[in-house]
Formats: sequence, structure tokens, C-alpha cells
Amino acid sequence: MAYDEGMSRGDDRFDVVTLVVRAREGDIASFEALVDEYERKLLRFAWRTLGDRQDAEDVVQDTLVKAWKSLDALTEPAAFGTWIYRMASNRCTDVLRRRTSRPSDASDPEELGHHVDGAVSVERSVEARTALEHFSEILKTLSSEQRVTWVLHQMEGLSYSEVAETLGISEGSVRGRIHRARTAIAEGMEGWV
Amino acid sequence: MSDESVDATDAHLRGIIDEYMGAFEPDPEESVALRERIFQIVREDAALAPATKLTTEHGNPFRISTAEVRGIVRRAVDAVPGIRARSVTATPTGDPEGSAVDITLTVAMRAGTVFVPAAEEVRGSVADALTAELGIPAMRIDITVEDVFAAEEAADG
Repeated sequence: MAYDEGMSRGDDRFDVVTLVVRAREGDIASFEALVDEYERKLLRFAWRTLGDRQDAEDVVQDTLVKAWKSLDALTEPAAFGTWIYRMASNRCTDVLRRRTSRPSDASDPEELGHHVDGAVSVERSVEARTALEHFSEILKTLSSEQRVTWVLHQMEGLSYSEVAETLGISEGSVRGRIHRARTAIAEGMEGWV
Repeated sequence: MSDESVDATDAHLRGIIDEYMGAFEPDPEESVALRERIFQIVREDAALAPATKLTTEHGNPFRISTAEVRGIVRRAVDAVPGIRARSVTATPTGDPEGSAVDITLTVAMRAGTVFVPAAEEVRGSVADALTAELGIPAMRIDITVEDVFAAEEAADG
């Protein structure tokens, strides 16, 4: 699984299985090494999915604290990455569902502009930000499940089978969700590209 | 909308998608507070973890965090070249109970490490550490090798 690769970059001495086994026996330093490896990736995924930094931080905090408290439930330590991405995905889906009943100002255009590379020229930036804002609005129209699935595949670079394993659904369901999301985005962006 | 036109729009959207992704790339400096919040909760939770009851050589009972006992053992194991501690169980034993401990541990071993001498070194290192840091002897130290790692993975030589 993509997230479980390259663990040695996060900690020069210990592989992910060793870190998980030690962390679930209360070794905070080992859990810290796991957090070093995954915190930023999870935050990026949640932020891209939710479009709101504070909501994304809440998801990452909830996910990693729950991971610490329920490491005993992880029967296959090597699958730690998949396991926490599934927890984060589920929490993102919950946040998006709550938003459906309580609209918020997530993906605020001001926030989008704030983080875009400052080197972009003003003229180009105005046009690009307009398309970017529209794109962001289109993403909001996707269902919670479509959005999480599309971000995992399109932005986090997971294959269909990896997304399926992460979300605990069939590969066919993943393909269906991504196809519907791509179609909705393509239709919504007609005339903008 | 046909699949072909979805694909074509998808390709044209690449620039916008890249820009969206770039807009949501967290700066590590801005995540410091998040990390602090996470580890404050983790440390509070760890403080509630179970303790191990031991007894000094003078017969006085004391309690120590089980995670701390495991930490002493792990550091001793990790100090042996080619061996990395994984799971550690410390069971109070002796008479009176807790005047000694039985240790059961699993380890990962670097490929090419000869087990028998390495295991003896681990036993010596663990026994010395428990005596030095807790004043408690290890009656029994059982070691199970559950994994072998490639030499190039090790940064500790």
C-alpha cells in the first residue's frame, strides 16, 4: 500500500511494524515516529477533501488520538497506514455529511488565494483564481463519498485497488464513484477550460 | 457527457487541479500546535496506563509504569548490534513476588546476525539494565525472533 512504503524515511532505525508494536505497548517515542511519518500526509488529504484547515486539523487530531487509543485493534501492524487513512476518510465523510445539513464557509475563496504561490502574476492569478474558486464550488456539489474517493485517487495518487482497500469497499464501487465525480466535475467546468 | 469528453475535460483541468492541490499543501511550521494538542492527549492517556508491582531487595513494594519497565528493556535490547526490540512483557516473580521479573520479548534481527551469541548478549544487556535501573534481577528472559530485516535498513551499523 502506498502509505506504508518508505517508512524508514520517517525513522532511520525502525520499520513500521516495530514502531506499531512498541507504540501499542505505550512507547510514546515510537508513536511520535509514526506521527512524524503520517501527520502531514493526513492533514494534506483532509484539507484537500474538506477545503477547510480547521476542520482538517480536527480530523487529523481525532484520527491520530483514536489511533493511539485503539492500536490494540490493529491486527496487522504493517497495515497501519491504510488503517489510519480509513479512519481519516470516515471522519472526512462525517464532516461533509454534517455540512450538507449545516452549510458552512469551507473552501473560502480568500483562503484559497492566501495559499497560492505568491510568485504568480496578478493578472494570471485573477483569472486562475476565478477558475479555482469555481472548481472548488463544483467539488462541494459532489457527494461525501464521491469527494473522499476522488481526492484519494486523483490527488493522493492511490490506485483504484488501494482506494478500495482504504475505504473497505469494492474496486467496482471505487470506479463508479470516481467516474461519477469526474463526470460531475467535467460538466461543472464546461466553459472554464 | 461521453467518456471521451470527460477525459478531455479532465486533461484540461489538470492545471486547475494542480493549483488546488498546491493551495492545500500544509506548511510543517503551521502544524506545531496541532502536534502539541495530539501529544498532550497522548501523554495524559499514557499516564493512566497500568503499573507493574515490584519489590526492593529489602522487601519494600513499589509500583512503576509498565511502559517504563518495557522502555528499560527495549533500550537494552536496541543496544545490541543487529537486534531491535518489538514487544516486551515483564511479569513480576520471585519470593516475595516482584523481587524479580520474567521477561518475554520479540525482536527483529538483522540478516546475517548469528542468533545464539546475539541472544546471550541481549540477555546480559537486559539483565544488567534491570539491575542497574530498578535493582531487580531478571529470572528468565525468553526471546523470539519474529522478523528479519535487511542490512541496508539499519542505520545503527
